[in-house]
Amino acid sequence: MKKPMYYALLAAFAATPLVATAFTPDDFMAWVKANQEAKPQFVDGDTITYEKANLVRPFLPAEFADEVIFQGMDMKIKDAGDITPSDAYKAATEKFKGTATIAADGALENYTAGRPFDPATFKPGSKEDGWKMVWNWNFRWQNAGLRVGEVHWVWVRKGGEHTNHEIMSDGNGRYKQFYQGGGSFERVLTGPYQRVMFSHRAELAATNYKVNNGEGFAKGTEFREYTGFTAPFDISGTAFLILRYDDPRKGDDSWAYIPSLRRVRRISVEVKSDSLLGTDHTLEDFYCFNGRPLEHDWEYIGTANMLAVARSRNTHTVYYGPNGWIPLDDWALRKMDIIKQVPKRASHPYSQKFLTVDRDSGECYYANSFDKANNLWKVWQLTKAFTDDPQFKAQATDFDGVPTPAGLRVSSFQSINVIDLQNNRGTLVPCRGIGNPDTDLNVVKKILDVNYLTEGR
Amino acid sequence: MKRSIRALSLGACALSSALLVSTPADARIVVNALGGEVEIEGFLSSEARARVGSGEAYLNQWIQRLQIEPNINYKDVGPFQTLSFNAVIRPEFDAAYYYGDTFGSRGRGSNKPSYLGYDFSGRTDPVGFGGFDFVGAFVGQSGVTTLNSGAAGAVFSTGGVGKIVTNGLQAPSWIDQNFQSILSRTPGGNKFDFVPGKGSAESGFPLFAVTSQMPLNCRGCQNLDNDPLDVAMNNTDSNSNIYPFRELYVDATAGDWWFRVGKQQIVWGKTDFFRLQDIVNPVDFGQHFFFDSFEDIRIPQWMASIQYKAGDIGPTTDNAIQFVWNFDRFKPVGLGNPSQGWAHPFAMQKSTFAGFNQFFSVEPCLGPNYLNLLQSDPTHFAPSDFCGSAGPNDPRSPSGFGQPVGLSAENRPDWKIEHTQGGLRWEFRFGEVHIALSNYSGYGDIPVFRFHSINIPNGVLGASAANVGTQDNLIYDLVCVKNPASPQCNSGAAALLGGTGQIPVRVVEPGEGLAAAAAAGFVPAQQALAANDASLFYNTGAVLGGQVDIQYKRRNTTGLSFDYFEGYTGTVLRVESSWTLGELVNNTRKANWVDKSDVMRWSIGIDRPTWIKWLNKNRTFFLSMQLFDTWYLNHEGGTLPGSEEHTGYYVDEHNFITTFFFIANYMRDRLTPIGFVVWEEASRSYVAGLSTEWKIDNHWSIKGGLNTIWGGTENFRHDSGPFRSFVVPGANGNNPFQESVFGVAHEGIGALRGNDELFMQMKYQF
Repeated sequence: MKKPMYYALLAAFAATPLVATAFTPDDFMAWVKANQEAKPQFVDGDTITYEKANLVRPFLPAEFADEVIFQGMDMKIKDAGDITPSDAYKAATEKFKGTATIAADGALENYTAGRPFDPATFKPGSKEDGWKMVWNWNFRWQNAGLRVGEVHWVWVRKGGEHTNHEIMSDGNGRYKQFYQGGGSFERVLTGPYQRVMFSHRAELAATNYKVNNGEGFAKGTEFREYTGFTAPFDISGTAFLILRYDDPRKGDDSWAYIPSLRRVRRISVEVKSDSLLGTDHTLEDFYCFNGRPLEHDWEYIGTANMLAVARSRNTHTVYYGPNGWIPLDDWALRKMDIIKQVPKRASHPYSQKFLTVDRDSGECYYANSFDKANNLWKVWQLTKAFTDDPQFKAQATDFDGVPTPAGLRVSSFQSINVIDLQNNRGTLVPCRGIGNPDTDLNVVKKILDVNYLTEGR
Repeated sequence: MKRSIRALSLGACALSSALLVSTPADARIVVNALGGEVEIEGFLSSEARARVGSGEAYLNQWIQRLQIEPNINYKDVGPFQTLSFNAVIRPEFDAAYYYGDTFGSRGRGSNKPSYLGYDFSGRTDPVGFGGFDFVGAFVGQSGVTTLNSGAAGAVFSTGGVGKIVTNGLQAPSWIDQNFQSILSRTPGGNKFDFVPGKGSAESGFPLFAVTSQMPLNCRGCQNLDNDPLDVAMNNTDSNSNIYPFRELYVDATAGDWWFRVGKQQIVWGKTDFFRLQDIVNPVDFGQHFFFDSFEDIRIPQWMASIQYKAGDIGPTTDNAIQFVWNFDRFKPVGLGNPSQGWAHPFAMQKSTFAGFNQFFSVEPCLGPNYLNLLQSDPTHFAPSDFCGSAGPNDPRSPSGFGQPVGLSAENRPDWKIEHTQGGLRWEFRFGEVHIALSNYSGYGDIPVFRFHSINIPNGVLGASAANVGTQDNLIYDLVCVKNPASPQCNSGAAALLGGTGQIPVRVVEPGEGLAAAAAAGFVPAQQALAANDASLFYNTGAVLGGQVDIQYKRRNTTGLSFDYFEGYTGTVLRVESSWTLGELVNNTRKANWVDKSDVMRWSIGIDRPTWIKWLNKNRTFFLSMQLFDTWYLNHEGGTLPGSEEHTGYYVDEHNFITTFFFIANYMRDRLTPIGFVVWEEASRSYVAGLSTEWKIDNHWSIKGGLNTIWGGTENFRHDSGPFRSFVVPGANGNNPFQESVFGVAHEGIGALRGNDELFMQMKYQF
């Protein structure tokens, strides 16, 4: 009698989702350690199928590997090549090497442009290096910042299928090719996005590394970020504007345009860590981390070798897999720096979050977050596209895209996809019409001025 | 033509419904056409609102609404970087209203009273129904039983609306189908009940209001007697401007300039629920009180707006200067058609006083039930004394008593260039504070009643009567006027009133009349002049009514608002204020009831998205609280010594209102509970609402909830000025108390407490 009960319990345990097995930060740290000791058993050009999946498992984040590995997986291993930033960024890094410092409160000081600190010197477990790493992240190479003509926010529920969802026939079926695989789609939100960096711009040496010499609209500003929504009708016209001050100690100013009020409303910082209109993302989760570094504590964890879609072979992200949330793309083995983010605000929904950042490009490919009970909650996977690749050029000609200057060498943002493991759901955020165009102040002012919000619906 | 447009609207509504339901549609339709990019979005909804709570439950509104928002966008056209043509088209149809007789509820064809009313009879409104017959009740005249039945046997031949029945011109059912009695609360809070032969235990001045759309003699009065189909389609005076186009404008940007010209909404300010700086567009509260988003009930205006983004100016950043020219003809706030489900009590009172003018101001005539007089007393009665003898447009009515009373006109400013309105707003950031300064020169959009004439009996004015106003007569019985020797003219109530069938009056401008009465030695008038308080004169009952019109006055409103995010608490602070100089207000201590006051309005709002993890781990609750005050700096008024009756302003010097509001989100924002509570300090009344919306997918959603109103039942008594003589005194010797005319203002938001509702909405958006 006892044995059948034992097997039943074992079976139930094995079938329980990851969350119930309580994947904790310690488990993640254990995976990092194992990863550092793992040696790749695959080579460039290999195609990894389900049968060979164990070859890549050590190089995929433990909390994410089960999503990537499935019957029918088609993982092409391809070296990303040189995706280091532009010469201007490298020159600024060299020029200002050793000048940036970290204040007692973690604020970045004496920084001008380029990568503030050399990650090769970082020590695992160091809080100071955690600060240095997050500032490296903050001032990674982005040229003027990302502009997206059309963002989709696709609410996916695990299991099922979406062949009859309207997004598959929208625009005369133009999106159908992107959403392969399974997963049941719920709502799809649509809208544009733009962020413009106003200071510490490596390519603007002639204007003191600032837009407009840091005067007028650019004064005291690190960046301004606009997130808009055009569909469905109930949120059409909703828009968010965030102003990040160049002073790292100064809190953001944030506004939302609420169409039903036809007014711009000041919003609280709490909104930045809240679900964005019901998606699994928060405004702070953009890019992996988009918050103010000083609102969190940081720790440098170490490096890992990870497979990531660092240089997409596609113009636009193509999803596949049983839940339709895995990119069908080339995967490259990349050296990553890992940092831990611990929110200072007790009300923050995450207890901690780990970010993995490419040593060369400075871009983030994975992140995960844990709830207040330190149980794994969400995992993020980001797909990057290199602006100098030929397949990237088409971004300028469709989905309201604009050209990105040649030779910029930006690892641009093709999609960010989050899986909420506790609730068996995810949000895909494919970005189309992407680019990192130069700044025309007259153009961006129209979008990033708080008064522009009222010019909406 | 108008009928055709209506039919087309209905047809388009039905066609669109069928198309939308039968075919899959994109979340937003975007096509390249007309040389630009054409976008179309909108929704189709069906919302049923059932009146519940005390009394009978019934389907109050069932609104089918189609909203289409097309726009055509162009880039780089001439000097403009962007150019777009935009419209919001919204035909709608309230089936519960239009088929009120079929649904057995309220609206067209219904014979039932509104949330505010009772069946109209002599018991609920003895004066409005039986006219001067109510005087008979106090002298024991048996004829006053007609107050109940409307049957023959009345004391007098003229007076209340019931005389149209007792004279034989209408059947008794006409009363039920067209009228209700409103504002019949008494000092004890009970319904006014006049028992024939006994009078009333408690005093009052209940009023009749129309429940149909009968034409009423009120020049320019807004929303008063709209066609039932127009009311059902929300094509009332408030919303009829190129209906069903709610908005129609062209938008353009050129550099730092933004232009918008056309029919549109312009929203200023930072306060929810209240309008301090948000005064450019009036709001139609008659549709659904303030329960709908202001976006849906603002009355779009033809305007031009120019905004210049000036960037940095000195220490300020993100400067924007907006100039607005409202070249539409002025429209006041909408209070609803009196027959609408959510008509404000003042909309119903508007029909009351327009009804006074319609039924009472006219000269009297006799109806068929008095035809025997032509045979029995041909010496005094002629065919010309009978209604209709002057032709089909004979203005006379048996209800008329031949002196001007009630509401004669709504004096909305004509369209003239000098009557157009405009303003300026300057918005900027100063450090972390976002500030907006505004100034708007326009007409106050709240109606103000002004007595342009009152009727003073010659006896009050004495020898000086001939020198003021014009001579007229209050004819309380046409039979007695024609033959004072008639038997019924010298006994009972008739004897009490003098037996001549009429009372000579002077129709005079109120201030002039008050001065003349004082000069004639009428002591209360002298006291009123000395105290600068006309209510001391009016409250003697010495004046036999008067006639009002509705006035609007241009005023200047300056506003200041700012918001600030406080990082430690994570709250957003919103402060808004406005100062209006010389706002027209009603003050019943003034002879004509009109006064001016400087008014300051301010509000403080606190918003905080708050994690309540035990209720929702994934999403914050949006919590918002506001304190709002209207402060009349020149306030005058209060209760008289030894009385509970207010005189003066119909509002307190301060009117504090507190609101609490929350939005929660579950199921990835697909399930959205929303709740609010409003507390009005002066009236001690509350409004609360709770609703939940379930967004099924990108297109379909269901929303249901309830709205409830309570309180406001104290402190509702206000003087009735020149109409004091029509207030029924209580048999127990109470002071004359009445809820009308301004008592409802003291009841505040609680005045609509009889209209608690449950609602359910289905929506398809595209």
